[in-house]
Amino acid sequence: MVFPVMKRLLTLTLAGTVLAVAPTLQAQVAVGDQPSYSFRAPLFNGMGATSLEDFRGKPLLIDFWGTR
Amino acid sequence: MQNELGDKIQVLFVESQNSSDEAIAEKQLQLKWLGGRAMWTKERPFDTGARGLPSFALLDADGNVVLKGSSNAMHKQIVESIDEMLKASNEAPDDMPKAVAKAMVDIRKGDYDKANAVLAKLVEKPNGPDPASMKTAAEGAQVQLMARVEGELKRVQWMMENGYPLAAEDHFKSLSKRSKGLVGIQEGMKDLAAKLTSADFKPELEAAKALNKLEQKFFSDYKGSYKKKFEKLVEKYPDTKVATRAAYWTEFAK
Repeated sequence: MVFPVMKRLLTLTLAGTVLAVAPTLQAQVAVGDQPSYSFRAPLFNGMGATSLEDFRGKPLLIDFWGTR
Repeated sequence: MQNELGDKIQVLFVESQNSSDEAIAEKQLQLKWLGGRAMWTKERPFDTGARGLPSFALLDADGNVVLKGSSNAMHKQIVESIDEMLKASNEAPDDMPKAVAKAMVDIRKGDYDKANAVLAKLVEKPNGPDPASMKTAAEGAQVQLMARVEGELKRVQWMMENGYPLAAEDHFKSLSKRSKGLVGIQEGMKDLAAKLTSADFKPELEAAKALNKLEQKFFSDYKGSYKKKFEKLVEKYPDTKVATRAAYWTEFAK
């Protein structure tokens, strides 16, 4: 009887871990979606913008790039 | 693209390989990407689903994703899509009475005085076949107008408090011209004008002029000897927010 209880506890712990990590995973957007995001750190040259919502009013081109 | 289209669009660069600040600065300087209006972050707000870099997402003025994918493969579509959005922004929306829709176009252009005058009249004396709907639509547009104005005010304030005093001054002058008739914000505008012209703020403006000149040279020739010049600026204008910006470059300049 001990094993199933431990197994259940382990499952719950793992589920909790997944839930705790989930918010840091990025949702994949589709055309037509209206994504929402608040930046945790200030944007460089950000002029006070702190979230995607702050850019509304004009088109926003988000360019994902890498240094390598 | 940001330089070509000025403030009609906003470009946000998202470094997506979790590179160090040094590596990012090196690349920005090497490719001469700095000095414009583009903004930068290392936080990915979402995943586009595109494989490889560079990739992109284009959002319209309401924040909806209109296009996404590989930047290199879809460059032409990006340009065309932005062009279409900019053309559409000059067209009146068709889901509201025409008079209100015209005012909405003025709001989008930032011509707040013109829009405000029209909307005030429509709220006071709504006309057309359905005056009640006209009044509701005009009131809704007034709310949007004030949200836009408050957003601009917030931005000016941020610039003042974070080392961009010249940009704050320019934006404030522009907003003043476009919002003289908005009674509700005039007290706040007076306060901002007083701060911008105060003796306390003068060192920020002087430091910003010096930093702008130095940055222009540094961004076009980052391998030159600029470290000491940035350090001197920091020493000359201690306790300014502009000095904090200048201090950032002392870490990367030679």
